[in-house]
Amino acid sequence: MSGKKWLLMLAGSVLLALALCAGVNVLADPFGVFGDPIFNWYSYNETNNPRVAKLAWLEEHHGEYDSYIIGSSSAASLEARTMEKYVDGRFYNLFVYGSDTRDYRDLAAYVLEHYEVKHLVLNLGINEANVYADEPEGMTDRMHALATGENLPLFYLGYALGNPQYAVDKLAALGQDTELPQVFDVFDVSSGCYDKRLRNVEKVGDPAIYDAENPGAFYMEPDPDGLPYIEECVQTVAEIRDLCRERGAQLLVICSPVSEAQWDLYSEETLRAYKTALAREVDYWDFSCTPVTYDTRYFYDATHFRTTTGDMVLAEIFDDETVYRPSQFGTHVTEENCQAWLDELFAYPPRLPESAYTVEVPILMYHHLTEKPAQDTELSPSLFASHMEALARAGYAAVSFQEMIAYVQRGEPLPANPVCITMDDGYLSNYELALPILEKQGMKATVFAIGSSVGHTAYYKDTDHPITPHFSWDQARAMTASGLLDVQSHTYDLHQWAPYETGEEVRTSVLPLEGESETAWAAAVEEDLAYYDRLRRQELGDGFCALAYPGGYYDPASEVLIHQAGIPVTVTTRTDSRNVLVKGVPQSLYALSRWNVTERTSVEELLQIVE
Amino acid sequence: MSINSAGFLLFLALAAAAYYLLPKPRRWLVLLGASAFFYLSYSPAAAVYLLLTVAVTYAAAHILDTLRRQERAALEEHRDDRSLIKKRGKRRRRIVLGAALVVNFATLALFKYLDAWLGTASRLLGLFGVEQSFGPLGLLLPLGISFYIFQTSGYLIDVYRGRVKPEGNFLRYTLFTCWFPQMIQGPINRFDKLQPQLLRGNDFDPEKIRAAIQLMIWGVLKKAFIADPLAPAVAELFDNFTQYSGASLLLGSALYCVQLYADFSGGTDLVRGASALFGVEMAENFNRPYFARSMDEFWRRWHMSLGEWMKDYLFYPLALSGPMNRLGKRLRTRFGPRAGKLAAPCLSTVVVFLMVGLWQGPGFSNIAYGLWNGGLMSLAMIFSPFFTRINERLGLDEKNLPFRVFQSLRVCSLVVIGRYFSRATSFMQALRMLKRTVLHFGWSSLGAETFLSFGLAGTDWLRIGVAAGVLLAVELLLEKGVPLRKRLDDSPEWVQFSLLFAAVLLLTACVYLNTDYTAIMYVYENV
Repeated sequence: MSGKKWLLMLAGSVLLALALCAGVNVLADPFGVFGDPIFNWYSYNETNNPRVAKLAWLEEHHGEYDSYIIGSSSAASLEARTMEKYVDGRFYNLFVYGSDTRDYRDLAAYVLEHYEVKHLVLNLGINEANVYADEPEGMTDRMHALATGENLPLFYLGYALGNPQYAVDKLAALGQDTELPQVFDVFDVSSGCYDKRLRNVEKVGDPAIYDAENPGAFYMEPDPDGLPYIEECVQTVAEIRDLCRERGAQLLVICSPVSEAQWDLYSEETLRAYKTALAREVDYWDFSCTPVTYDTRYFYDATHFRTTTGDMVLAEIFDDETVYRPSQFGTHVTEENCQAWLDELFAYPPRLPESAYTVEVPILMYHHLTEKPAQDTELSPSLFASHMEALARAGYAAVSFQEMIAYVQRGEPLPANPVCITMDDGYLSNYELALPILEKQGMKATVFAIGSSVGHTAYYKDTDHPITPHFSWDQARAMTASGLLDVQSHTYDLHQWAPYETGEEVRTSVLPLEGESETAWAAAVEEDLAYYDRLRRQELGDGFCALAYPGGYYDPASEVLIHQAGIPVTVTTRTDSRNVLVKGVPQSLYALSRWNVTERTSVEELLQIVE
Repeated sequence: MSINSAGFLLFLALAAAAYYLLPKPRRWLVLLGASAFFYLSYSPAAAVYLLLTVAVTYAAAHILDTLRRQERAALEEHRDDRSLIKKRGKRRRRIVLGAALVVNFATLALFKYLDAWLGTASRLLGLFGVEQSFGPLGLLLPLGISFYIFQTSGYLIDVYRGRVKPEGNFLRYTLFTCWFPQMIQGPINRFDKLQPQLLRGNDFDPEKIRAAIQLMIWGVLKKAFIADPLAPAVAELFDNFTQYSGASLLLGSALYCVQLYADFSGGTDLVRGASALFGVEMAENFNRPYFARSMDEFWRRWHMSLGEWMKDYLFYPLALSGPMNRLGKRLRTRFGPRAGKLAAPCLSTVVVFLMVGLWQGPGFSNIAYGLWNGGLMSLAMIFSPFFTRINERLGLDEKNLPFRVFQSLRVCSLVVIGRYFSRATSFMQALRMLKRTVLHFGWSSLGAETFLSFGLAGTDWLRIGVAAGVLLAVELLLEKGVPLRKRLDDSPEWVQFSLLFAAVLLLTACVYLNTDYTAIMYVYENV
């Protein structure tokens, strides 16, 4: 072969290799630049680079929205669906992690100029005055050329000929995809928010547990440079304001909650300068330093407030009385009131005593009452009576789960020295023996009844295996009517007793069976929850609000399923953390600890447990 | 600009296109422009140091030439005092050459050795209780400084010897010094061979371009599929040598030999190929050194341009110098003619390899590396008759294949031992590693699991093994004289296309390996 021909062949090979690479990149489309024609997996694409993938997705779907939330990752806690509760608009959260106000302006300008926009929510933290115009380094952090006005063909060519390892990674991740978010697909595509289902079931009430599982979450490096980009930040906010005015869009500026760790990094003078400069350009709602600032449980980490804290922010702005928030939470700042507000803020930092918004509720776990207790799930009525009497004498007030929920969700008060008494499984003895004792002491308790066992007084389900008698729905009605003994869920039929079951699938807990698919498992659990709820509504008038995990077994995925189904309380058999309820933090009702009480538990020991 | 990057390939393509589009007399300007761009993109500060060396050596060469011309004129004018004029002229030229070389090597020492020497000085003073800490100065080591200092020094000596006429045009001389392919990994070129090629305006020859690109591809593949993946395993073994058995350390040094060869020869192929794209053939640097059958042959096949530089500008001047002659005579009288004959080459060899060791870097480990090689070669010279006699008695000759294999393996073993010193970070580390190799060898530790403990997975080893196997096969065939390149060029077109396309795909993978990449698990860490 002649050299000339060889060189032509080389050129052909190079072109072919590049075409191959471009083909892989376009078809797998790990950044969603090309419309992700095969997989349509934008949750993955947005995780890889939200600056590119979100805008690419909106190009196809902007007709579904007319309002946008813009900000950095903390803006992810302003839920699009929650906004829609208060504002007539279809919201998309266009937040981009690691972005700065230049990105905000580019994105805002693009959506305002090209889409229909009724409302624009701009979320500002402190960091917005700390970084500006950070130069992107690569495919994972550059902004879409649509927003920057860069040359589009070159932009597409860059992604077509980019490192195909990204495409290979995406194809590999396909095999590992699950229903719940993983590190490679953290976005909820239709709302634009993070998919925080897993994060939002982490235990929060006891800070020791959260800190141990998230070491360093609330540590921030000292920042000696102060806030060098106040002017640039305020200038871009003003530009966004002008754009909104031009396009007739409503602008809502929110200075979101800031953690104490971050707030304390900056001097009063610096923070005043930032807030004052901002007020000169726009009116804004300020939540940066409020009582929640001083408690880490309202934050995921030092720079990200919780979604539920975001719900409090929106409830304050739109005056929703059904959602708890502390007093002194949020101020509408204008140029006129700014100085007076700042004077007061720095003179009287809004720190609340912990007792004003948290309470510890120990939960006791009983089972069956019998004169001849033979195992750890049995207790004599006399000891139970002594326990109740001792608690009452010591000044403990037994509370129901409804009261605990009202405390957390709406901030309603709980009696002093609250304790929660529970009884598992739904034995007839709860009705016959426990209820009279509770009535005598005026103590409240909750039975977690297994739905499928209710009314079975002799045999396990429809078998001839004898069982301890369980109360009936009529008796359950009588108990709830007393106002002292509530009936909640121990699942309908996920607490099966394997030796007595005849079917192949035996569910002894809410966890998936071995080898069971995620979908089949979720369907089974959801069906069980719904059935119990329907049954309870039918028999007792309303659905259930608390679930005790059969056997105490659960995992984050089951927590997600159950809380997603609208059940605010779950209880376990773990005893490694305190049950600290926190107003406005629903996670403080999740996976609560319970202390098992047996015939061996003396009155003194009981008092030690609840102390 | 990384030489494995798409940017470098684009730069080469644009420079080559510009080169062949310009009229021939102006083509060298493209080479100069490309070299300047390449060097400035690396570091403008380093370019200043390079320019200083260019200026000093350019001026020195002209002074040397002027002195030579003055001497010639004087000789013609004063035909009676020839020896006096010659002697005076030579002395003057020697002073100028000496001064220029001192400046040159002082520059090299300043950047390459000073920090290490200051550290040693501080420690030595510390031993005597003097708490005086020097440096480090932390100067940026200019790209290619070892190569351009040696290259310009060779040029000066050639001018001094009258072997070459000095370059009159400063810009053209600058091109000789900073020709960009040689800045990356050498070789050390000779003025008389390189300069005419740089200046003459070469024709566009598709055959040569093909050969150049093939060489570049081959070089990149060696680097990317053998050297680069082996580097972490070698680093692990040398950095954490106390955790490994002697057998593993010996393996580590052997792997280092493979890594270094693939890296250095691959890099040389790449830069020679890059240079050949412009029709400029640079000096050879490697000739399948691990097939050498003696250490002497090894050093004629390994880093050849340095070896030849050392031979021409250090070994011969030293071996033929007056003091060596006198020493030889003295030894001959006392120990016989053989001792007298061997004294100069043996001593000069030791000195040359001491310099080769130092060329690699400061530190006693490099000195030890030099002495190891120089010592072995001197011993080989001394015991050569003894070995010859043994071989004759055993009936072993050069045609005996097992014997030749044995000889090559012996050379490889000696090289592997020597590499303990050149790879270890200190002389003491090399000694401790050698001690561990001898006293705690641990044959049993060399299982499949051992290989996985160096930080490479089974698939990595498989890839490296296949690549190294291909390299070995190619080198064996070339060693046997099989004209592989010609066979490749004569093979059916579909074979050529398949091989070329496979190579291009691999090359594309190499380019992508050097682009920014962040795995998704690190792109996004926490909500």
